[in-house]
Amino acid sequence: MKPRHVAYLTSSEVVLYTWDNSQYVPVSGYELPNGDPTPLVSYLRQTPSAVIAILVDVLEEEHQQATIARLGRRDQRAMLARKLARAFPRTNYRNAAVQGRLPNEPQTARILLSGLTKAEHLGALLGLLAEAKLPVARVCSPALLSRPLVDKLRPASPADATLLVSRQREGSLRLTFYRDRNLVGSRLIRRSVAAAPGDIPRLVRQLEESVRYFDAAFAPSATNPVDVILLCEPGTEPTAALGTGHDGFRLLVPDPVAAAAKLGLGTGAGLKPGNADLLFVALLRQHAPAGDFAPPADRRYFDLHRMRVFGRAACVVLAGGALLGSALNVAGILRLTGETANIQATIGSLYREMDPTSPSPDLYTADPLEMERIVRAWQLLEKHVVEPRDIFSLVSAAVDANPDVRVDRIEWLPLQAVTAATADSGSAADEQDGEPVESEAGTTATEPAMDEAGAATSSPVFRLVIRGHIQPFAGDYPLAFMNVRTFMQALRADRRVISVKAINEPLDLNPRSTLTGEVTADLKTEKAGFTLNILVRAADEPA
Amino acid sequence: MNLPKIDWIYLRQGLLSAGLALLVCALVWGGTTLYHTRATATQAAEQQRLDGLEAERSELTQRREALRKFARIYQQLALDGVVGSEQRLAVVQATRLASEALRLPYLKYTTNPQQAFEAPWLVPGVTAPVLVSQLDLQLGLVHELDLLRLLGQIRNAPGRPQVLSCSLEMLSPDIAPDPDRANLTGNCQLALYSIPRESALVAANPEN
Repeated sequence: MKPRHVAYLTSSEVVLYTWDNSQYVPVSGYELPNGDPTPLVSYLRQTPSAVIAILVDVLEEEHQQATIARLGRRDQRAMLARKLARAFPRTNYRNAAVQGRLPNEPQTARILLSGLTKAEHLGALLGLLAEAKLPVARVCSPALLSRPLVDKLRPASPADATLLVSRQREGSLRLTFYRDRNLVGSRLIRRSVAAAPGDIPRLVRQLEESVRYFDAAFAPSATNPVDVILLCEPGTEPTAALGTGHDGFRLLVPDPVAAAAKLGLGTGAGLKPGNADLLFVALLRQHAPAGDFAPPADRRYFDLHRMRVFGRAACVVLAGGALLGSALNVAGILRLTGETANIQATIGSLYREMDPTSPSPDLYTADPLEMERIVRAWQLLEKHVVEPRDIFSLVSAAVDANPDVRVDRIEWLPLQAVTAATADSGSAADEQDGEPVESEAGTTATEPAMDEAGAATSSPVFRLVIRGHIQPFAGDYPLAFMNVRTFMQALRADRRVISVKAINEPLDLNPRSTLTGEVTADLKTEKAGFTLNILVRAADEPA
Repeated sequence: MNLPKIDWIYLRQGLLSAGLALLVCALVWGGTTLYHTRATATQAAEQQRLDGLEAERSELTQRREALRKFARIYQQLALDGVVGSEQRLAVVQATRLASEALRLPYLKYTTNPQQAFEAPWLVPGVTAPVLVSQLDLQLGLVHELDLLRLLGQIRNAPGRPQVLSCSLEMLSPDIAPDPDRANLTGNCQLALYSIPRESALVAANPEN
């Protein structure tokens, strides 16, 4: 969460900056130690949900570098807490940051312990804000915020050591020392002591003294230089290397516009001559500080504020989902209502359609569907019988066309009955004649007839067996055969006839059988008999 | 953060409006869901009612159509004695009367017990169940046309017996027909069908 308000606390005053129109502007403040903080608190109360950060820029900020062994996260936290308590026993505003492993000892980590040794004003301010239930996100210092300045503004071929020198709004100088991009320490030189803007020789002396303060073993020289980045110094033109008269200090004055762009600050923010306070305030919005001095108790309302924000977000999401569901439900209700109305209208029309004409069951002697079943059964029964008159007319027509044919026996029965009879003992004609039954094609008569019938028609089929003889017969077998053939042809002419096969003829002419006969003077005893097997369709329909 | 350090008043102040809005939205959603569920149930019930009515109408239409198509034939079948119990007495009597009227040399009849008639083309549910008694006739005929006359008269008897099969044979093909004696013998099988009402079948077989 980015802070909307930043309280900049120095030794002499507290200035409140507020994010307005894409930049921080001072809006309130009070003098220390006896100023009235009420206007500042009242101003903050107007936006109780705005996140506040505090930047502490005081003399009493100390940093100590130390090392610890590599530990697990929990043990490391406990170890850091112990070291912090030992280093800064009289303040709650302290912070420990792990800076990384030592180059030659990977099992050892370098840490930086920071503390505000005298923080009565900060404590009072935090107390006021807590009383007003205002969310304070963090408390940090310019030193903890200066890492991005080193990363972005140091030269292309940087030295091992970097010294950030910034002119604060009060006129004091803030010096922050880095070795290998690790913060070593920071100090504030009061306005009364600090070198005046443009007094480079004095500034160099103060730099030398400060470097000894930060690291007594470090001696700046031409072979071991220190990059000095001079920020917000009034009256100094931007330059890549300003001569200082000391080979150990390479003085850099970055261009304010380019530096602001590198740091991701707005065009109106930061690097204003003589006001580095605003630079650090703006940095606080863009970059996370290296540490936080505020103990968890002082961040209580910030944690609660986060809970409120997340809670509200959850409520909004759930309420949105509920509203969406409600909208879908309403749409579904409208659709269902329309469909139900249509169904009810259809039901009404069905009732109107059915009621006046619904026949009462009492009007029937039987259920109409039962009537249908009975009638259909009877129609099928009638369909599967053959009219005796039809059989007679069929045979009579053929006999009329062949007057020499005499019919001795006629028999008809349904094909199913024939099948059953055949399965039992063969066809009736076979039994009567007692002769091998051969059809014209030389196969048994029953089977091909059935096959042919099944393929020829779907209507019921009957078998008609005619036994007869040729009269007069004077021993002329060819003539008798011709008469039988003519008779068969006359039968076939009827549309109801499916097939006509001779199962017994005046002579057995089958080449595979034996034929015997006797010629005597008395020809009257000879008889040219025949038996025909005819398949007839019950209904008169085309084959 | 420990629970005792939570400022519930602070939290409530920040979440009250959002919570109320959520509550209202949840109530709206719950209400619309409830109403939607009821509307769905109502629609399903009405749809079911409509389906039932449409089925009823379809059946009614089917019955009306069946009545239009088959009532007259059914009435005729009922009058002819096909529907209902078997008309064995009437058929036998009609056979005897026809034989006497045609002055047949002889006629022998045998009626077999009634049984269920089964055929592949009779489909249960589409056609009614049919009972059949087979009537066997042994005839002595003067002329073959006597057979047609006899069968015609029998088939007009109650129950309308149907001719299944017949055989007819000349007794002496070489002798001239004699009007005073049987010149042909016949053997016919007739089916005396009866189609009982379904109510009668149910009464006869209550376990079905």
